[in-house]
Amino acid sequence: MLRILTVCGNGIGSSLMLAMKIEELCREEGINNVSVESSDLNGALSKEADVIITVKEIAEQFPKNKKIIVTRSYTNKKKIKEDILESMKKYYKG
Amino acid sequence: MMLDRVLKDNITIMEKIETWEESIKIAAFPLLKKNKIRESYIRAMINDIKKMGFYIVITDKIAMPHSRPENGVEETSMSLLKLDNPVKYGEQEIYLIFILAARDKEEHIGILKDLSLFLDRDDKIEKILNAGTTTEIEEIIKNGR
Repeated sequence: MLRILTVCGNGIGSSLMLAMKIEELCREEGINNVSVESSDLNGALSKEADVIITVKEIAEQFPKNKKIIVTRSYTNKKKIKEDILESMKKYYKG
Repeated sequence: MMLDRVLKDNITIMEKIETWEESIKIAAFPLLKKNKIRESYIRAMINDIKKMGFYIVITDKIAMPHSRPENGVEETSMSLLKLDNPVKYGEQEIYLIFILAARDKEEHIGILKDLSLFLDRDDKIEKILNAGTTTEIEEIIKNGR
């Protein structure tokens, strides 16, 4: 089980759109057993997750020890795929 | 589709705007006028960006400013400002500003799903960028996804 947390400034807009796209992407790629949750920045600091996916502006505000994948877009599936798929597969253990 | 209904009569087109703050105020004005949001919500969207950066740039050329429900949302709604010339959000050039007002954490999910599907289509985005009237934009969104 891979637990993914998508993060934006307040957890109800951009991060939710990103979570939808990641779920779509995982289905297409046959990556099952993934949970995707969205959160605001503050909430994300205290949440358990295997990997955090967010944009550069937000990624910079996390402590260095967090596992983070940076994406350029919250909505463009092609870009999201280019940015996260390879790294996500590394964390994914089936 | 939910998106076209929610955006109806809430679309503005302008040639040029100097600052991102101004673009948010103008984009949100139709919602303010209809009492779907309060003034405090506009201030909150601007302050959130000042605090946390331009994370609301959701993809190339497009921003979706928003804040939390408790900061002044009366009704879940959305408005759109299209600019003929870009305004700078940090380093990024923005042409489309979708204001999201969510009354709680659930009600707006349908709108976001529609918007997310719509924004996956580069050809539709291009059409909106080239549209001359708000009716044209409404039609593109209506026939969209």
